[in-house]
Amino acid sequence: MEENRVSDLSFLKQFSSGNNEMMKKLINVFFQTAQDAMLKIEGFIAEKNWERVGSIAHQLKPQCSYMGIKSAEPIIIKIEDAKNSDGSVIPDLFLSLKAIIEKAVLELSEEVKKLG
Amino acid sequence: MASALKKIFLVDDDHNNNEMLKMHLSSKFKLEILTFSTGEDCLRNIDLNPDYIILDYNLNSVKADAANGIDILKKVKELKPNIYVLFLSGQDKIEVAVDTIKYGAYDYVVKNQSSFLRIENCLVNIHKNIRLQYLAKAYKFATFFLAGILLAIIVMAIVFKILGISALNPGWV
Repeated sequence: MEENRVSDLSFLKQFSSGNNEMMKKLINVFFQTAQDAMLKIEGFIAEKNWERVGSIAHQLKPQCSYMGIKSAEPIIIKIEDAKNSDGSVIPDLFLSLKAIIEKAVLELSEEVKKLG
Repeated sequence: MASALKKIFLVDDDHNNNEMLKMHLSSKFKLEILTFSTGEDCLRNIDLNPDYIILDYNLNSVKADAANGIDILKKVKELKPNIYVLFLSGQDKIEVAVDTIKYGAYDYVVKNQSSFLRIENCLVNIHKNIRLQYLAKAYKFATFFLAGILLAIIVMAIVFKILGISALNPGWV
């Protein structure tokens, strides 16, 4: 595993019991979920609707866990905590999260190609 | 491990999580699985009498005004107190977990890579508890039944003695 990878498919391989089609399906669902979430969060940040930002980010947490994107979780937790206190930190946190998710999507896209 | 279970509701506004949990449970148990994206949808179908409900806490990402899991739990317990409710949530605050148990949830599992296995173990434990409860009731019934028979025998023996009837008395035959 490369040192600066952000994703890890160990859990997904175990969950799918080596079924490549299932793995591809779950990864593609993650792509869709992540893309939708990022777009929604950007919209709610523009409206400064921190409550909804936190709600959408919360939904990403388990998905990132299943894809082994461990570095996303602490940022999502900070976003969830910030929604009830200082929402002004959320935009910067979101940029960090977005960078991680985009890198993960690139890595996972390569994995999907390898699965055939 | 394959075990005969009945009907289970999976309630989560995250469709992908519902589907993954459904895949996992289908591979481990024989049961009828229904999925819902809000607690309100779950309640509308409560008369289907699920044996178990696996409920998320935050249910408002699809419908912003959807009730949270604890409100749904309270309603489920009011309508159908015998349904076992498990929470499966990304919410990891201890106060939330404590509240769910306080209002009648059987257990609270935080969503992560081990959560599917933990839900599976919860269902197995519930099934074992149900069997133990039946065995305890059967044991209690058998104990009372045997005690009743013994008492009847003693009473009859006393009555026969009082009446002077004896099985050893030749006149008895």
